[in-house]
Amino acid sequence: MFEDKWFPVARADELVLRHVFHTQLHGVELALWRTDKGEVNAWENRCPHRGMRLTLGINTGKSLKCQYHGWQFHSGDGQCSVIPSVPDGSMPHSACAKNFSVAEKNGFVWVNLARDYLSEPSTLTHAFALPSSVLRSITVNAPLSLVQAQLLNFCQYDRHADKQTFQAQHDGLMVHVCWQEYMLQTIDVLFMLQPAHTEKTVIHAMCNQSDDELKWTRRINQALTSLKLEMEADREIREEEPVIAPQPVQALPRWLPARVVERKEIAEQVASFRLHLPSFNRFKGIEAGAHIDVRTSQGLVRQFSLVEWDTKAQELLIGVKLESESRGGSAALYNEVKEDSVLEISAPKNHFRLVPGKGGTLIAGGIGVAPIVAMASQLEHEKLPYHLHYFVRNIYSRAFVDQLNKLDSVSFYQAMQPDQVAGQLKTILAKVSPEQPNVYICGPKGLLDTALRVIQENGWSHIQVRHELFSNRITHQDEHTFKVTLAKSGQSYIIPSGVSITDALREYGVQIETSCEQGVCGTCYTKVLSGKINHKDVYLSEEEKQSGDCMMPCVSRSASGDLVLDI
Amino acid sequence: MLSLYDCEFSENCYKVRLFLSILGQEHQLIPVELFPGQEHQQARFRAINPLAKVPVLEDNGFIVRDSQAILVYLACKYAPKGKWYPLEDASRIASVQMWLSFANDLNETVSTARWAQVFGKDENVALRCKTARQLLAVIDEHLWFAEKAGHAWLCPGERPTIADLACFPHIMLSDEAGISLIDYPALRRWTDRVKGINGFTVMPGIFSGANN
Repeated sequence: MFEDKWFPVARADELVLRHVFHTQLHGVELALWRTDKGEVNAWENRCPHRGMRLTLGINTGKSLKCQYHGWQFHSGDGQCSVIPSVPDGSMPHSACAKNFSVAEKNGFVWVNLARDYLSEPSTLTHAFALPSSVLRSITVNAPLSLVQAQLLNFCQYDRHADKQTFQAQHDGLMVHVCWQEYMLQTIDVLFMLQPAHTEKTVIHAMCNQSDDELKWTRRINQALTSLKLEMEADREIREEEPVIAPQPVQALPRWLPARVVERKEIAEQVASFRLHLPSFNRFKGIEAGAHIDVRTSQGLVRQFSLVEWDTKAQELLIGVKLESESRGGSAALYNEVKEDSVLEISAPKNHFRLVPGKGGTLIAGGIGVAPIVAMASQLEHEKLPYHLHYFVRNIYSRAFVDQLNKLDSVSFYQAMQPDQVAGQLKTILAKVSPEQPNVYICGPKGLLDTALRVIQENGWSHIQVRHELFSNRITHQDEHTFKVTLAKSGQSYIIPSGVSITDALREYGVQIETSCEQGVCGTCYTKVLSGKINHKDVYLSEEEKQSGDCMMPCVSRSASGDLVLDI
Repeated sequence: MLSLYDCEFSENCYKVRLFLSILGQEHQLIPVELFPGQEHQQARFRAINPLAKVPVLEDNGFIVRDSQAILVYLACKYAPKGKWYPLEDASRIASVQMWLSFANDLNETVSTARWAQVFGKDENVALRCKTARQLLAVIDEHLWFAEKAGHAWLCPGERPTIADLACFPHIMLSDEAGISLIDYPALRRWTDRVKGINGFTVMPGIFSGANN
């Protein structure tokens, strides 16, 4: 595991539009990239699908597209948003680029390998007061300790630096040098070291001379180049295999406090809640289709789609329907939460994204309109073709009417019998063309099932349906401890809850080769001799899962009792 | 009709194909199998180029060898005057020539190491890679300060020149020589820009960019 420390990894202005910046920290290769909106991402330089370097890929402005199979990973959470070979949108929600905590400060991009992207960069501190001008960074093929020692003698590389007044001090990863020049002016230069790998160090530099920045950039650059050439003269330079980073830990609590700033009764037994967050950092890259988890005072967790969000005001809008068969979650929120109440919410997740750059047919039923409204707004904003079809029980159950009224292309249907709904869906879906094949559905299960049946009955195989899939995520709530026996050695091991089989066995010294660790790639395919498997992967086919003789131990577990693996 | 004696895997042939594609200039390719066929060593090919090297361009009986010379010839004959090969002032001509020579240095180091790695030719790979890294550090530094001055290309000016095309293939394939571009961030940004030139085309080992 890596130390909980921040390292500069690039000058911030070198992450230019649509570029993927390539660097390395502690042997871990990083792909740094900026969205068109300016958000910075620091990801492991490795596509979770087949391990291709992401720096060979394409920055689309919103996502990073792998060059190998065209999988796209979204800014922020790094989740896979497009798989060209899976056009129906059944994206494996667990396919995710490994992303680290990243911050922009003082003209540099900083990364902390020990923390995941949700962490606040509040731990970023400096031992020295930082000078103002950012200079050119230089890579030296030598270990950090040697580079640091050499920088303490910086004045021997800068022929103008005054040797008499030269002073140098260091603090682990930083070297501060200063000397005096004419008119007793003090020149301060701060070097910050990035350990790329054991044999390679990047020197980032700042100086206090802001008047003639280019002159100073050239001067210090020349001195650092001399230092580099001298240090590298007798060294053999090798490219090293990148280190695979362990999953960074989520250093922050999962739950964030959110204050209810407005509660409105917007339809029959539907209330909207406008939530204010003290920090919006974890909501970067948010897009239509995202949802949050909300925890009630009784500890129940429910998912709610985001209808609107305002990054500046740091506000989110969700809708809560009082379900007649509420297991307590929606009832507690609907009945008890008032303005100024504080709720606990999670960072957003998105399993229901729009296909980038394409329009679509949007179908909503009841409160399922929440993400659909957000999608319609986004499509309208992007000037892409769409039509929103909204099914409700009666006109009093229309939710988010204010938002719907602002949209150009909405049809309402109410008080329909099931066969009428099917007929209406047939009319709607008959208009879906192969050029605009995307259909997004959110609502009661009956609506989705009817739509799927209509599509199947009419043989409209060009239609690509995406729907909200809350149940297909890898959850750890149902996990229990179980025993795994390895048939070849006869050894048995305890797999604790919350720890994958592959991770647990690795701790015991048994290696099963893994790659994605998300049940996507198939690397850890393992034969099973006995035991009931709880499949959580998206790699195995339904038949394979049914057969019960194989599993992906990076995510899947025992359904009950012990497992015997054929290894 | 232009004929190009060509090998698909050669960076020097690719730079000519790249320029022809950018110019939209009609041409035919005459494949010459370097490996394992050694067609370039045969008498038939030596009659065309006694140096036994590709690429060679034939334009209605006129023969040009050497990829840099071919770029100059195409820029002068088939492109608007001065667009790809500035002729209006001495310092710009010198600047282009300097980087054309540099492309040749890259060929002797990065690309020779690449052919040794990929096609198993026995060369002093370690030494060539060491020199290659020094060259890459120099061009990276040049491009870093060019960016600072608001220039996108190797030679000052609004538009790319044949100097960019001459250096690009060697740099883009350095990975196959065992040299990662990770240490040369300004160079990586410049390769993005070259990939964005209208008419850009690829070769094995070089992917297309965001715009093509």
